[in-house]
Amino acid sequence: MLHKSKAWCLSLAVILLLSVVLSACGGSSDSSSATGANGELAPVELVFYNYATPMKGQERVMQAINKYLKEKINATVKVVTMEGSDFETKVPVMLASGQPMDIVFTSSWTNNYLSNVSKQAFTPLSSLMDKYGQDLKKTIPDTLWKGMTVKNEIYAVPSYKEVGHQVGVLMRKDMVEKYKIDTNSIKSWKDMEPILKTVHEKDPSILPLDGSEGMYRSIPVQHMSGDWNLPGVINVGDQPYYKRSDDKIFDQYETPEFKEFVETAYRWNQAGYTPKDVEYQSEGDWKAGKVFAGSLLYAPNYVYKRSAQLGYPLVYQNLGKGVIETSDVQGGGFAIPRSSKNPERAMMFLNLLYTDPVLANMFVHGIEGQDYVKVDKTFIKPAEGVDPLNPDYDYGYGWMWGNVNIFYYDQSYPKDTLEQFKVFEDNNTPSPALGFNFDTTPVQTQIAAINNVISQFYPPLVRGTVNPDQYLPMFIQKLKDAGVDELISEMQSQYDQWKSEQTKS
Amino acid sequence: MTFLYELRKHGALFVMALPALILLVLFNYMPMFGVILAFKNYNFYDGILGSPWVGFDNFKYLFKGDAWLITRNTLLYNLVFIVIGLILSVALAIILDEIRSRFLSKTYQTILIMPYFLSWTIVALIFYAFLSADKGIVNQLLSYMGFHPINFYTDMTYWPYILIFVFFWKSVGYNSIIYLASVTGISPDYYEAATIDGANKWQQIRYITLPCLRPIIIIMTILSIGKIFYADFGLFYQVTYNSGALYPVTQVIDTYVYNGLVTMGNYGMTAAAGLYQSFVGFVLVILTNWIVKKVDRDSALF
Amino acid sequence: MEHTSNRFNQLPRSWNMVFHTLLTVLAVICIIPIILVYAISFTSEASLSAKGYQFWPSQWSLDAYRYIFRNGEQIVQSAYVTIGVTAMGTLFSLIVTSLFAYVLSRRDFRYRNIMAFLLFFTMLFNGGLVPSYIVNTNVLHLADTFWILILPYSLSAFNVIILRTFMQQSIETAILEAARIDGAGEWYIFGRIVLPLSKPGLATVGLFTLVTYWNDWFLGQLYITNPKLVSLQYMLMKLQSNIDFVTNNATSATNNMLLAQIPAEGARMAILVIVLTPILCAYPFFQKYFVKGLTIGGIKG
Repeated sequence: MLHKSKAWCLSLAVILLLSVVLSACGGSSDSSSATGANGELAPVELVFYNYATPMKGQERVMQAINKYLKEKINATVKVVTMEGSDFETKVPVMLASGQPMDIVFTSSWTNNYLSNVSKQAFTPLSSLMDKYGQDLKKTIPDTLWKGMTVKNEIYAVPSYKEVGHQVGVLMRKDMVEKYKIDTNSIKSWKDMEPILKTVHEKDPSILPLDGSEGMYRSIPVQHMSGDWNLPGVINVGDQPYYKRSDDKIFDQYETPEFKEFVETAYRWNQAGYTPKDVEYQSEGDWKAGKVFAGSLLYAPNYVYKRSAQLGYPLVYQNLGKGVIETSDVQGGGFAIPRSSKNPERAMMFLNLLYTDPVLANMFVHGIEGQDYVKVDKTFIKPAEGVDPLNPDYDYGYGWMWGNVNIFYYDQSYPKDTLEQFKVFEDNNTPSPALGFNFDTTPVQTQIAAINNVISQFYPPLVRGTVNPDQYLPMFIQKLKDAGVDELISEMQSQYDQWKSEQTKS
Repeated sequence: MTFLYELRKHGALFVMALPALILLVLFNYMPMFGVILAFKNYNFYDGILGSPWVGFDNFKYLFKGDAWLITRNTLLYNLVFIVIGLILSVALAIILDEIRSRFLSKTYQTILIMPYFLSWTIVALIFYAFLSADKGIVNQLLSYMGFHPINFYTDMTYWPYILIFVFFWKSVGYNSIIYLASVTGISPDYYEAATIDGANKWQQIRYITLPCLRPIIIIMTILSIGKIFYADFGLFYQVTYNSGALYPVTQVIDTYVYNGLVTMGNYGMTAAAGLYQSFVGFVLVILTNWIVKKVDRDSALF
Repeated sequence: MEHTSNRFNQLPRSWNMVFHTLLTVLAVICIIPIILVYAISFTSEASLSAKGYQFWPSQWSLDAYRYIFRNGEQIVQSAYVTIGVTAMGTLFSLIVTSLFAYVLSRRDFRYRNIMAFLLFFTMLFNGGLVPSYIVNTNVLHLADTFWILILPYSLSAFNVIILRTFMQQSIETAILEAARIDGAGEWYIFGRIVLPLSKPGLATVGLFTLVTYWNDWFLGQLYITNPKLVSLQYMLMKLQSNIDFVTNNATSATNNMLLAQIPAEGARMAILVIVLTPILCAYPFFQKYFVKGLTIGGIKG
């Protein structure tokens, strides 16, 4: 018996020892930056993970890009493009295990920016930018830099595309005209009801609205946690909904406005204006022309593109004014991970990517003459022999490559494409809390429980598939049980502190 | 000393075990240091070993809110899966072995394992085609016969049965393979002797087949008890389309953890959930194994 | 001992009928969805959205397959990877598993229980995703190699334990004793007596292993970036997850544009058909080992 237990201990000890020793060999990777930045630059290869569709012609285009980069900053870049769950699985694990990489895509919707910052995954950029990214710093407006700031430090260069978000409705133009619908009368989601009713009565074979969920987003708020579902918002702008004091954070699900919305959504669903299925896929019905309207997060020049895609004309109407909140800014950006051995060169590269049209457009459209030819200063067309539906290399609108203002656009885009971005930005109201980033660390337990309550109640309520008389009180109660009050008060105290810092500086 | 003696006596056995032991160390025991993540607030800068300790903080969310309901669901579904699954798989294996036509038996086998190869996404899609509210085949039938359509994905009454059905539909054919192989491994001499003694087919099954299957049944049961706090994520998440209205009967530990952490990506809390699930399974297995040892030493796991 | 048609040795005719009826019903329930999968893969997108799922498409189409084979080269390459990984992996795994299972089945081996425990322990406890990733990439340097697709699955505790149970059950200690007295060494006993006697067990475990390797996409998704090492299942997974991801985020304008380029359900089903068909064809090969009476030859030989 004695022998037996001895052997047990021995074998376990050996194995544990082995594990620790062997894993210790691998774990740490010091980011000792051994780049002699003065005078001659040593040649380096930068590894760049971006969220983008892999293109067939990538290797060919990369050769041209590297030739160009070699001359500019004596660096080459190895770009790895991935999307969907491929990116979501690989990249966070690579960051967590300290794999060497120099630039990585981060955002509010994949490879989460805030969560990475709180796990200290990224290199702080301010001082690097002062040295190697002056042009970059000037190119991007302050609003965007503000949104990326966490505890007075910037950890990612934001994608410069449309600023802020607007919610609106897209409707079939032929039906709007046929039923003489005055789209200008639509000021908020509530004004949709008579229209949906008309459509449903006149043509029952058409689905009036492809879902009410999106419309809820038209109520202008800043989501304080950056997660659009978590409780805790403040009022934005001088608008008819959610009018509260700008300073006070509240649980949006406990408001009379939310109650009114879910009651309406339920009424619409009962009346047959919205689909009854939990996982309704609208795309097929849109293509078949069986849907009248849908709500969406608008982006400039979108209506035109979508009409072309579906093959019939559409009209678009905003639901109230848009908002610029912190999470909008975090819609995309590039960070330099801690594991990067060459953060200086990575910053030089980003500086070029955002300011040098030659480089940027190689990433977006490929090689001039081979993939595209220029029509004028801003517009291009596919080169001779390129199939526009299945090109060898072309990202089209290409927002994932940084700065849309220096890109070329296909000649089919409207002439005022770039102006549209400006108009869009000017129409949106910046949130008073723009730049506030919530640190979730103290309330992770509560958030995990709240996330579950949200995924249980939020989708069916806003889609109108369950009766709010029964489910809304349960929702509110379960949020309380999960600790929503602790979450809100933590937010409030962080917000108060942030504000006092803002006024000081 | 005993070790050296053993080494000399059974040297070949050590060599035979060596490749497996190396694989165990490399792919299982070396990463095992990661369980400490469950007690840490992991940040990439300090690394796994250097990150600050947080005690049992990462476990707290597992006992918040609907914890009781979720644990109950996980346990009850798994009990049903283990007990009924065992009966169904063994019965199916015996039937497949006993029916007279060899050719048909093989055909049935091939067809019955087919659903196993469909991913949960596809299974979800197929059942959606039957159950969906607007276009589902079941509802088309119901309204054709003059009944009210049922919105399955918001009505939880049917889901315990639906989930149990889907689970067995997908897995029972595949799981019966183990028992089928076991049945075919029983020496024909036993049956021959029994036939000579005048035992009929039922008696043969009762007194030869089932006792011979006992060791494998015991092992399979012990192994599934170890996984009793784990639920099949695809079944409970994808087949239900994660529909909130069904949560009271469909939410299990794995979906709770997923829904809670998917936006945060907290490695410590993920590790905590895994450790909790494993630990409960481990205790139960040790207990079961101890009981089995008392009753039938040879059938025990270790 | 040719087929003795002793009436005791067979199922009564009436019960035989009952079982056949039961199995037929089960078979129909199991095969209907599979037929549906095949049918959808050949249905045109237009008739799919107009009429829903049909067992006999009102409008046939090869579009889904055409879409997939647009990336023809990648498919061929992926097929090589999958076949290579499955064949090598199953063979390697069977060798390691059967050796270890035999050692654990030896009741006279002192360290049998410790080893069994160490094995079982890994079935429940694991270090988790990130620590495994660190070990596999930083210590073993297996990322983006052929071996990362094979080694992590080559030793399954479940398979070893199952095979060990089979061995304990079907091999009597007396036979081994007799062989040893005749002067047979351990390797001879293993190769000439144990393996032939364990054929049904080996076939079961072999089938399980084969299915694991064939169906795996996870290792690829985590460790493989080189397109030359992308397996079929990983390809399917990529396509599917892209569809899911884009449809879940379809409210944003940029994603809506992507949506139009992605083929609908037809393509999903078509890829499924492509990976499902070979494995269904392979099953009968294993099946021949699940037949009664196979073991006699081993003992007497």
